[in-house]
Amino acid sequence: MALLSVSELGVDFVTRGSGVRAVDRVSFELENSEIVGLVGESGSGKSVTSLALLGLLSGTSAVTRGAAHFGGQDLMTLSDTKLRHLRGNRIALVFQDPLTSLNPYLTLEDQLCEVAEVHLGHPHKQARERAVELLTRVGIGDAARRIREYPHQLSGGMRQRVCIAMALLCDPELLILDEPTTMLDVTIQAQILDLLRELRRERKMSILLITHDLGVVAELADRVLVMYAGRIVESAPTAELFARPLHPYTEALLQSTPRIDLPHGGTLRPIAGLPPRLSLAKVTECVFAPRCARVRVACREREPELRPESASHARRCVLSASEMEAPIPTEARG
Amino acid sequence: MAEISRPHEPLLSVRDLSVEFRTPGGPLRAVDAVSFEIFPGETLALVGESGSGKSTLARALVGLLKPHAGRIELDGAPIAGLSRAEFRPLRKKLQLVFQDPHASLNPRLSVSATLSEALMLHGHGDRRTLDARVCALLARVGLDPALRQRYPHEFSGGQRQRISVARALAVEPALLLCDEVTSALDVSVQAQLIELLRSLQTESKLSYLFITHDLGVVRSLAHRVAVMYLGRIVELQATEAFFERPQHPYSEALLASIPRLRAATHGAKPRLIGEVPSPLHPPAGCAFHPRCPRAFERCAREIPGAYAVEAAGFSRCFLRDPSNSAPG
Repeated sequence: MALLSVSELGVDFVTRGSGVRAVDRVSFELENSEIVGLVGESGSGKSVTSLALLGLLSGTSAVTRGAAHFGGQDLMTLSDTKLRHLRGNRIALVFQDPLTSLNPYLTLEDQLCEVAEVHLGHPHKQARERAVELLTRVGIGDAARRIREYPHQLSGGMRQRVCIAMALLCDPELLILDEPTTMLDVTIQAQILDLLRELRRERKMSILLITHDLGVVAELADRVLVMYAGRIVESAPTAELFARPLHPYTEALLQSTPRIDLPHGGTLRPIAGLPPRLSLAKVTECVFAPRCARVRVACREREPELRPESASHARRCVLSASEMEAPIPTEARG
Repeated sequence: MAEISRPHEPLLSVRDLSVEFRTPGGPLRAVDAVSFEIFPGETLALVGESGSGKSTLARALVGLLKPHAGRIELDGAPIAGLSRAEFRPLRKKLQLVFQDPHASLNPRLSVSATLSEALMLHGHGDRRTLDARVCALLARVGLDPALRQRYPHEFSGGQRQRISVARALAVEPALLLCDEVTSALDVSVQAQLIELLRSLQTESKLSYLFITHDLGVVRSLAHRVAVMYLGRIVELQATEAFFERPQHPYSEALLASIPRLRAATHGAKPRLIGEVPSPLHPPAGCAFHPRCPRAFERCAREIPGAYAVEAAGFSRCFLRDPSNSAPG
């Protein structure tokens, strides 16, 4: 059975008089020691998906639907206490900006040991030993001394290593990384990606990697889910998705990314227009149709379902796989 | 991109420019003896990681920081060390566009007011033609002139960045300094902006100094690339030569760090160890030597000069020194 299984997840943010459907019928599974990349641009719903799974949207105006099971437990019906126990112990989260996720007033020792004391019930000495061990593991040299430092004394890359060490304290089965390397320089990003790859191998951890960076996904993920306007529009094994995208949005995303491995960065094809505003109204066409270079009449008639193309490749598009291989009609581009 | 014919006269010429900050820990040399030229219609990309000095360099070029030493010439006229009043007429030729349009546009001014202000400040203040000029500017950056009475918050990030570009273009500059202008944008919108900058260049022979950490954007847009490390330009080369045959170990490491969309091999790539040292205490000799996989004894002792490499480029690495006797 999959470690995490999400079915028809939906999140609405309801405000006076209007609302936003941020996540719509999202279903996916995450196996043991698998890395799944959740990619999409701003507002595609990728972060909201992870927050909803962890029950971190309570206290907002969010209304969630659907089901999510983690290790056999239903995340949607779990009490707050039990959820809190799950978060930190079995599921850990690392966010984009380590400076806002670390407490600036506490030394690394204070914040790392607190986690080990609260979640694992370790006495302080043992908690400290474990913290030093993990800091060393994530590549912080001289950890026994540096654990007495405050976050501001560390570089951005070091801070992110501390966040990863903190996430590992309880030996989680699932690590959720939300844009873990976006704020880092590329040489540091490469170090962190190597570290994550090693950690997955030695700890058999599953990772849900949320990012807008297709390169990071290509480097790290086994499988990719592409989100657009709150929906998964395509899911496939990583190499297959990049070699043979079968949704026009994925294709367009790849073609609007300047490539360092192609002369002149490859041919750039910007996606015309802007993502749609997401309302609670019923959607009557493909959400990507207004910007799609391959749009046809059928796309406007109803929203396509996410359908399997093969055992591992699914997509939400009316075009056949062979129609996707035809050249893009040029005049349709804005 | 269009090949540029290189006339003899550069638009911008920078010679041995240094910028120092006084800090409690002593003087911090953020930019150290930097020299380069930008020709009309050319895009020079300036790449480097945080703390490499690239943004400090840009701020010195537009007169927001006083250089400690060196010369800056714009169209043959020296601009370093001018007073604000002396600099103002020249500044028209040189405009800066920032990373975050949300922070650089006044939220209380409509787009029309923002652009009108730029036009009037630099003496295009004929009231009768002002509105027509505003509309023309917006059309030039691909925005609907009908939206000119709206405020910045009513636009998306990509549209706001277009407004910033329109404001910079208002005074008909010859050179745009673009500081991470695509970094805050989603890739689909980023590609739109790149295409806009490219077409503006073809249309009006604009030059760009394009500061970015995104090497994909560099390969797509730049004619030449300058790589900065700890305040110095360590390599400067024509773009395609740089990506195919980097001539400095730091450039090699930088290129090897970028994730590829078609990752042929996972892992097992050469990685730089450690982080950039503090510019307060830069390493002696070549500043890159403590992290350099190919460093040898001379690198810790001497500062490398600028050794010529192909296509009028240079590399500050002893491995490119023709008189070098060490293992290459």
